[in-house]
Amino acid sequence: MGILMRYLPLFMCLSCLAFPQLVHARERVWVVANLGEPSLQLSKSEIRNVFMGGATNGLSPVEFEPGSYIRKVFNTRVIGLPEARIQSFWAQMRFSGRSIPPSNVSNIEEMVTFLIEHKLSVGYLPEGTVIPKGLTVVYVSI
Amino acid sequence: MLKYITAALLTLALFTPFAIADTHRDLTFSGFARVVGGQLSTSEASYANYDSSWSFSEDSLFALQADYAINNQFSISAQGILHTGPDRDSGLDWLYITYQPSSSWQFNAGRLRIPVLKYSDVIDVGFSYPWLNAPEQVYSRRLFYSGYEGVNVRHKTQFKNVGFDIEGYWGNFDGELFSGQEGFDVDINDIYGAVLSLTYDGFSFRSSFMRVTEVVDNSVLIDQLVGGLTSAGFDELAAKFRLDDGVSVYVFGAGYTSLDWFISAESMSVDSDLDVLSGIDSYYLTIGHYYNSLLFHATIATSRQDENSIENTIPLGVSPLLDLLSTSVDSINALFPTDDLDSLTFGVRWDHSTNLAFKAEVSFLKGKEGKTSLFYVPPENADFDRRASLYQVGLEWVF
Repeated sequence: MGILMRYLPLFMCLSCLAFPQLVHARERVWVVANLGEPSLQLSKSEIRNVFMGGATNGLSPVEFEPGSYIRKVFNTRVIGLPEARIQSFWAQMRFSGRSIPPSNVSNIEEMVTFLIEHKLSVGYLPEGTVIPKGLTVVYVSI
Repeated sequence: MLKYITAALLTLALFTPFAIADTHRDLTFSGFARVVGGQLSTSEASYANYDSSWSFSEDSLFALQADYAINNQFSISAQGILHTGPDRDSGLDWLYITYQPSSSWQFNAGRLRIPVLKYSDVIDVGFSYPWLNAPEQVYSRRLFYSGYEGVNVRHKTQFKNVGFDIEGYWGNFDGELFSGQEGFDVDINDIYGAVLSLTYDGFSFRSSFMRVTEVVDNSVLIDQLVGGLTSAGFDELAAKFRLDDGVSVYVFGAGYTSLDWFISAESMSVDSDLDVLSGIDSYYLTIGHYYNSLLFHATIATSRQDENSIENTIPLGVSPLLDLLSTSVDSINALFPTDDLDSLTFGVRWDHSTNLAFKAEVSFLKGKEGKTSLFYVPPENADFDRRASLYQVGLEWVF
């Protein structure tokens, strides 16, 4: 029993390492945009392109700062890449003059304010967030 | 002149409070640095400039980029790099104006980098790729990370769920065409190419074509040989040594990246119209596994270069002058690379934070005796078996 208790924290850490995706298993994000056309829906591929330097369809993406929990959920559920890979991708884009990463906000209030103030901006919020008038949910993550 | 501009830029940046990036959105500074150390397991040869003693000066560098937005559509960018390596000059590697009329179109003009391979225009930005040393068989050609002066057009679009990125470029540059220790100075008056990239979820495909035209030889060594052959009446042989024709490069790459792992490959084929530079086929395949902030990766890489078809037709024993000419033909022909090499690389990358990564890797190299195999082998070690291991450690930083 003593041995079990001594190594329990280690086993717990190893479990987290082995199944990092389970941390976000029940989380969902809403991708939210400030659009002129409330009926527009985007596919996961289109959103990935918008947030990863591809064709934006005129939309300007905005993200939460690296390290924030909602960003981790978004990376896991929508982008499908680890943060380290995303950062190395943006280093490649920036220093070859192709594009720069999206603007960052630090909390949900800032995200909502940014989206309301910027026409054609697109960001994301935790599922269940009260969406103000003028913003549209264009994608719901699985 | 460019060195002075770079120095002025770096001085300005270093003495400017970094808050300027936050408070003045028109002018932003960013940059990257890498410190890379390596050691080769043998003292009989060197590889990628590494030999049997630990060296931190071959690939280490510091770079600063300044971007100035003139308005919503025009901007000016400059990137100065301070190299510690013996083969690279410090200076302004990028200096260009960007016109971006919409989010899907971008036009650049000025000093740019050739984007023939996936990482050739960011080969100095080690933070952007998994290795410390990108596979030499594909990435060692100095031509591919040389700057050119010209224009570049990029267009991004999406069709259904597939993202398209199309790029075309044209320009000219001066530089060395060959890798290895024996560089032959050439001017390339025209260079043009195109890149097509497709992305679909985690899948990516990239194909690239580049054509180098109008190679102009500045090599005294070659000029002397061609002059000697012509005056001795060997016009046909002299013509084969003239560096005055073109080279075509074809690249195809594919990859898949998920939350936990990635696989990525690029193959390159070089078709040369120059008799002395025979064709090269090379590729690499990398597989990596993400384990939280750690990335474990393995790479196999291969290059095969055909023997060139030059036949020494000068008869021996006729006269001392012809004997000397014949020996010169053989010795100069031997300077052209025959880069057959297989390698297996294991590496680990630890992303300590969003802008700092530490890396370690080992490459097992297996070349062919009698060929250059991307090694530099001193004449006294000609019987070196072209087998060695390269050990490297380093850190990559972006800011």
